[in-house]
This record gives sequence, structure tokens and C-alpha cells, in this order.
Amino acid sequence: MMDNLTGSLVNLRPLRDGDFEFLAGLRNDLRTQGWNQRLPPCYTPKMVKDRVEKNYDKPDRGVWGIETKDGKLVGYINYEEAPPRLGATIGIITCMDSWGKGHAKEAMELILRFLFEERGLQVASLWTLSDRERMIGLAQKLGFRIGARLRESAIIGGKVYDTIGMDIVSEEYISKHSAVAGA
Amino acid sequence: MQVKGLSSELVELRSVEDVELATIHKHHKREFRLELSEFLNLDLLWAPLGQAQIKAKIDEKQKEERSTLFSIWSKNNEFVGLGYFTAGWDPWCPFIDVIVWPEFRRKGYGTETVRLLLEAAFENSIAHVIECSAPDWNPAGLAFAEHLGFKRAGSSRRSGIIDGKFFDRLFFDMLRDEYLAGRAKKAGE
Repeated sequence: MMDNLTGSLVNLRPLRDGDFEFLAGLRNDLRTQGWNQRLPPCYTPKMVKDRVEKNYDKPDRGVWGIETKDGKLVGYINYEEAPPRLGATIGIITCMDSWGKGHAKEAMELILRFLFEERGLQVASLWTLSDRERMIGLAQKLGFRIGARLRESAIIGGKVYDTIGMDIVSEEYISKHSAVAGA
Repeated sequence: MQVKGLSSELVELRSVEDVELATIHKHHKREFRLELSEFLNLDLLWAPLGQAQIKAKIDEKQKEERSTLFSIWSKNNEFVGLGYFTAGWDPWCPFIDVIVWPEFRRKGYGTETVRLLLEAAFENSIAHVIECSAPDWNPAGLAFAEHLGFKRAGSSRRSGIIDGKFFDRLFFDMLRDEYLAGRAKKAGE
């Protein structure tokens, strides 16, 4: 049983009022934004806060700040279940300074463990873009498989890219987790 | 210049009116419940619903941004099914769905409805690719998508549970270039 969403590199914690300026910055950076349509980079901290308060007060969804062990906020991670208690879609954004340091991987591991072991879900999914090779590679390391490729559904830097759907089912998670535990 | 209406020699696409609710409810009460519940995105696919509950769900879908739910009428003035178009997520890649009542299938109504929707999307909007999906328990729906020229784009596993088994959702897409090529080919026939 998990006592908290705590790892060796990062902790996942509820968002606080002081976080929203940083999160608006991630949302406004076209390199970290991550949606399949480019959103205008004019989000304010208040808009982020309103969105979080509107969307995350239900038991079938959650959002956390990703904080390093020295207390630095490096991103956020969220999930929404659909159908509730059956499957969830995960979203994650981390700042570029944090890339390559294992923060996103550990944040994803913590959320997967929570979803499969505490919520008892059957499947976890994520959507990304075909140019996001780091995200696809990270997800594959965690045991996700590419299930869907919706063609030419995003434009980035004047080029069209595919939307990639990836998922991992509970048995795959358990198998992967056991292998890691036994290594 | 006038935009072409959503009608052809075979079907006419109209707004959903209260008078059609009884027919929709009738189909939901029969063996067709699963498909109709899926189409209306109902939370409990198996659950019986009253006419007022179905109306509430239709109203909810009608309020979605850049979306429309419409009724499909034959030229013989028969209410033959429902259609849905949404560009709410992204007008670059709208999503469509069509359902034809069982007694009106294999008469070309569904195919003609999708043709009109593709025409509306590709010729009267910025749409670059059209997407649709169907659960794997609906082989007729999967075959219908491919028959229309949509390409399989993969699946999401364990999208729900039917008869004690998980089911997957299969995705399909059609690019603007593919639509235009298909239209040119038909014009040349």
C-alpha cells in the first residue's frame, strides 16, 4: 500500500496558490505545451487556477505538482478516469530544465502505481504527438504500447504530425512492476 | 454564393425535434439499446432510460461547442437515424458518428449521410482530417467505416465492459487528400 505519492527523486503534491505562475509558463511555452493544437501562449496564472478548480474537484480525476526533493516545482501531472474506475488518461508537463533527470519517469511511475494498485484500474492511457520521441520512449520504458496513430492531426513548426495513443493494461503493469521489483 | 444544403436525392439532414424523441426512445427500448447508448455517450450502456432522460442527453450534446446532432430523413419522409458532427476538440480534425435504425440499413442512407458530412467538413470548413471510432463489439460499424474509405488508425484497449468482457475502441481517419481523390475518381466514373 502506498502511504503517499512520494518517490526517490520527486514528490507529487497538491497544487498551491503560488504554483500557478510557473504552470502558466509551462502552458505558454510551445516546447512544453503538449496539446495537439497549438494553444495561444497567453494563459494567465488565474486562468490555470480556475481550470484546476473547475476540473479537479471530482473523485475520478486528480492533478499534482511534481516537486524535486529539494522543493523545486518542475511540472505537473494529472489524470481523468473514463469510464470511472475502469481506465484513466494521464497528462504530464515538465519544464525543460528537468528533462533527462528521471523526474517525469518517476512521476509517471507514482501515478501508475496509484491508478493500478490503489484505484484498481484496468488500463491507463496517454496521448502524445509523433514528434515527441522523448515522451513516446518514456512511455514505452514504463510498459505502454502504441495503440493508435491518428494521421496528420497536429501542426507543429509548420509541419503536420500524427497523434499517438498509448496504453498499458493492468496485467502488463503488474508484470512490469514485478520484474522491476525482482531485479 | 449559397452553401449547399445537407440534403441529396436520398436523404435530408434535419435538426432533432421533439416529435422524433418517441422513435429514438422506442429504439432505445429494444435490442438496439447498446448501439444507441454508445452513440449518445450514455454513462450506463445497458440502462433503460425514459424519453425525458434521452431528451436531456440530446440537449447536452447539442450544447457542445462547434457540434451538432441531427436527424436523418429519407426522401420518403421516414426518420431513419441520427448523425453527429463535432469540431469541438479541434476544427482541424472533426469527429463524426452516424447511426441508422436497423430496419433502414443497407439502403444507402448511412453512406449518403457520411458523404454529405464529409462534403460539409472538407468543402465548408478547415478540416484536414476526419476521425470516427467504433467499439469492437460492433463489427457492422467497423465494416461500415472501412467501406466509406476511412483507414484504420489503431485502438484503445479496455474502453468498457460488455457481457463480462472488456472491449476495445477502434479509431479511423480520412485525410482531405484521400477525400478529394475519392471524389475525383467517382466524378470520372
